[in-house]
Amino acid sequence: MSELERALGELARELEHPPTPDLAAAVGRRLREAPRRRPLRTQRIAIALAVALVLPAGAVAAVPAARDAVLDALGIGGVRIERTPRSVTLPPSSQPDLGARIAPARASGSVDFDVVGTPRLGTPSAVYVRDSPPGGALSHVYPNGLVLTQLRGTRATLYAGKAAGPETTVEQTEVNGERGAWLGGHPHAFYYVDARGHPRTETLRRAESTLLWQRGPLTLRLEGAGSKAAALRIARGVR
Amino acid sequence: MVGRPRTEHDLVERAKRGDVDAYTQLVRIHEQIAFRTAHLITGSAADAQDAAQEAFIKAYDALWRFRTGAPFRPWLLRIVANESHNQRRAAGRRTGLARRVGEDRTSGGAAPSPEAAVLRSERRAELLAAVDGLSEPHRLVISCRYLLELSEAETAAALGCRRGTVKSRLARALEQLRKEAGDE
Repeated sequence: MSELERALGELARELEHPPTPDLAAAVGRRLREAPRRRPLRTQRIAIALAVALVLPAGAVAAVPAARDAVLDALGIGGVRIERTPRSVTLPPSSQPDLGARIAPARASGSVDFDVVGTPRLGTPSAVYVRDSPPGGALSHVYPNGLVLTQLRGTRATLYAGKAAGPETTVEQTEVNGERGAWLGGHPHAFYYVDARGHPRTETLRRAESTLLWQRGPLTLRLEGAGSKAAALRIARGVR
Repeated sequence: MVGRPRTEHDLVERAKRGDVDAYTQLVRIHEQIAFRTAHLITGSAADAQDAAQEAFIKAYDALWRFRTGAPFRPWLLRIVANESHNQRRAAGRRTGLARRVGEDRTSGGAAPSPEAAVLRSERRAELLAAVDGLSEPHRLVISCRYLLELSEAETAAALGCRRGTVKSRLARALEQLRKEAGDE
């Protein structure tokens, strides 16, 4: 250590800093005053909304109101998860609308982001792309029924929503250090929102147990894994 | 569980689950270094207080993405530094250390002679002025490493750069300081 470094060390010991204010008390007070400011927890989320999702048409119409009512519903990447007090019922004919089928080789050129994947799932039996939300959404469908969808989105860019009724378990989780959520049990509704944040009725569809998670700038969705543990195992391998 | 001393890891885990008391304890542990780092960047105690407080609130909101088992202090200091830069930009202030060196606080032993005390105090004041006269990146790296005694990793976090950059910038800053302070 040079003399200069020693002198700096001495300076550090003799330097007068302004007294440290009582930040702990102030921070504690602020956090207690604003109960919404809690880190989202690994537990069932019980946000009761004063709106009902009953029929498909009414359901979709009600979603904007739901969004207004709950400003800080659980969000994973660009997907907002909203609790609804009643079951989400959709006509049995409601099919997953994954977009247009494309050749697997075209997958990476079809969306506006770097495509991720996992060798664990093998070769997809089909690949679909849709142009909504912005940047596109790419879905790989695997022979065992798994569907992995990727889209661009962060909390600041809301691209899609999920409406979960009381029978659907919503648990917060983590995938490789980033936030995720498991929606299990009863089917829930999935919809895309347009650029102004309004849900698009034609995109509303029924979704089975789903793991949603954030991976950098992407929001990933895995459907059909059966159990949360199985979904997490696959998700951790997605690179 | 009651009364058991909490490790930082425990506190973080509890805070992640929404335990405000646990988080308040974490704030207590780190408030001094957070405030001093904010003060270094903002140059004002009032701005540093606002920036540090805001940083602790933001850190709480962001706890879910804090990796379990990672060291908390560098992660926190990064948020404090970002918030402090925002605060400083908002205030539009040119910062300097604007600090004073305390009266001679040589611990233990016989009191130094008045002449020696004056000499030491003058040298320290000169050194402080020299640090203050450095370019902003050099001033910050010297201050983080030597005056706040942050580790290299913590300095990198606070300055938002790589550890390698901290090393090279520190070397250049020391060299500059040697010239300024006439150490050679």
